[in-house]
Amino acid sequence: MERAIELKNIVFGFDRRRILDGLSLFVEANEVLSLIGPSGCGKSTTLRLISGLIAPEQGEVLLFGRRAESLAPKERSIATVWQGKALFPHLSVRKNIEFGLRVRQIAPEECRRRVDEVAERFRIQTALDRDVLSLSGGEQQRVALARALVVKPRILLLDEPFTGLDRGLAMDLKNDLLELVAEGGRTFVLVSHDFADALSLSRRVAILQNGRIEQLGSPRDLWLEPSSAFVAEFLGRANVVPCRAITASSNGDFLEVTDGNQVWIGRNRTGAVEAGQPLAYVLQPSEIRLDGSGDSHLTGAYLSSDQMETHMTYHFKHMPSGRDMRVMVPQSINIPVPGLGYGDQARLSWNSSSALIVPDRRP
Amino acid sequence: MGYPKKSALAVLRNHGAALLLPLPALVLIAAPLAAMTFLSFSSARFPSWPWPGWDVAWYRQLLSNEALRGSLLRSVLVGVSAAAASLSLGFPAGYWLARLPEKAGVRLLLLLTVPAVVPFILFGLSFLEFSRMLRIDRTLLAVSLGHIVVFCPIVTALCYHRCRQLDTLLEDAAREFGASEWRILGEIVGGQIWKSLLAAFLVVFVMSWDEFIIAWFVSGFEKTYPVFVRNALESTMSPEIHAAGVVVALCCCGLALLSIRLLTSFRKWNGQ
Repeated sequence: MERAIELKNIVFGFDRRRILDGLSLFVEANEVLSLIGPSGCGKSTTLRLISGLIAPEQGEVLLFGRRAESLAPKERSIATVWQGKALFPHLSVRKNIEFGLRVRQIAPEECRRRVDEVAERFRIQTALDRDVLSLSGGEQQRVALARALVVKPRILLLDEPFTGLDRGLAMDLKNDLLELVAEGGRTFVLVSHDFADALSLSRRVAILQNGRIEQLGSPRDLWLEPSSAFVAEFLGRANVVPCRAITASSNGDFLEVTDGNQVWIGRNRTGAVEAGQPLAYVLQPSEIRLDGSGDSHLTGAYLSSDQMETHMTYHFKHMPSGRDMRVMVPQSINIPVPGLGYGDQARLSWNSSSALIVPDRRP
Repeated sequence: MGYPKKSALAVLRNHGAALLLPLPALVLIAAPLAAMTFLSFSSARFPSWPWPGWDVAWYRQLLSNEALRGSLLRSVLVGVSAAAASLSLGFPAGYWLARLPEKAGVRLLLLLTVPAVVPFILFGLSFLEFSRMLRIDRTLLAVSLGHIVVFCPIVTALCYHRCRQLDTLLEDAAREFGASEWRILGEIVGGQIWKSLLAAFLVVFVMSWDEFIIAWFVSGFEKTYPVFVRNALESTMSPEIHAAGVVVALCCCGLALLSIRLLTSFRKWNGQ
């Protein structure tokens, strides 16, 4: 499979701060890759490097196998849907969309035809002569998408496209994007701080932290097999409990760790460890039971519960660390938590084979 | 959603007494202009009492006074050329400074504004020498150049501040489509702040009208309006000068008000 984008060991700094620190990744042609991570981790900078608006201090950017530094932005066949839309406020919707075509000196009749075509596709044909500032957020986002697509890019970069849209509009936009993905012929890089966005659009997701890729894989891998405490915590699903290795291990399948009170066993995702090394014990909320079954346990102080559509989420406080522990119980099972009041202690248990032990590089 | 607009009557009812406070200042500011307007409609050549009667003769004579008309036209020419050149130089400079890191931009801007803060009398004197070196002394070109040097920093500062308010993402969006830097400056930046640019043009034009010292030093026989008025004061003050003054004052006030309106109507794109 041809690689549309390849970043090799990219280093980039700004204002004496290193934003990308040896970043390497590739995106295959026609693939959708999502880059997610917290604010300031280098996601948007990565997009700007790909589109040629900034140049790396070190490393190499390849586009369809060609070194990108020799290509001007318009030769890269890239268009971006920017965070905040970046529409030109003094131009009408039509002028906004046709800007890229006019820059490329496309004949006016062809400009008109292509703008009409893309406007129809994104349901903004009636807004073409309007001021962009008079449009709703959803319409503005569709104009931004139309403006990017009208130049027929081979690579479409999406920088937080769902930011500022309510749930319904975000869903409409997702459907538009899914349709584009299904059409084929384009490579997408989606930047988001929300894992749910990545989940619905891409098969591969890269999690960035401090200008490096913390983990790259399918959404399912990231979810179920996080490679570090940061990933587990960032995805916001797993319980992450700080712990330490009890004994040194060269590379065993299972490790014995302690949180200071209990000894636990879990699947080793760290590799070789030294005795006393700080680690993180990762437990999926759905793997924890409240009925006492399971070979490992901890004591948690009950805080609260949330009634969701399909499940109940119980919140406990892990005693030594004070961290929030979530327990998810499907509605169909409907285990009551009899007589638990705020601060009451409960036994949370699980099977060791469902727990992961990962490196804890968090500051 | 803003607050509903109040009618002038409602404002007067709520704040009546407070509105009278700036009245003395307004009277003081308007009094000289009112006196000049009054005298320009007098039928007598000199102020006299009882009132000799109303007449527009001085306005008619203004049209036939070739020297006065010439000075007005020359001032228009100098004003337009100085404003156009200041804008052509100041806009790209202001934009460029605004895109530098903030500290560097501010320092360079301060450096550029030095000519505007040098006392005009010193500047006029030095510019006289400079125009002699260029062999353009005693010409309108020298007056225009002097005004460009003095007023260009003002345009640069105005453009700098406006460009700092713009979202640079829009420029990047245009750059990604392959737009040249000149196109970005003209179509994207200029398109967003064209009202401010027009206001800057008007401000320089009005200030150029008013500028006397540099024009007095470097203009020869081709006198601009302020120099003409100054010379007229040495002989007899004619009511035609008052009539011309009224016309000029009205034009300048109108242009100044328009420039204020343009500057305050700037709408910043905030992605909403």
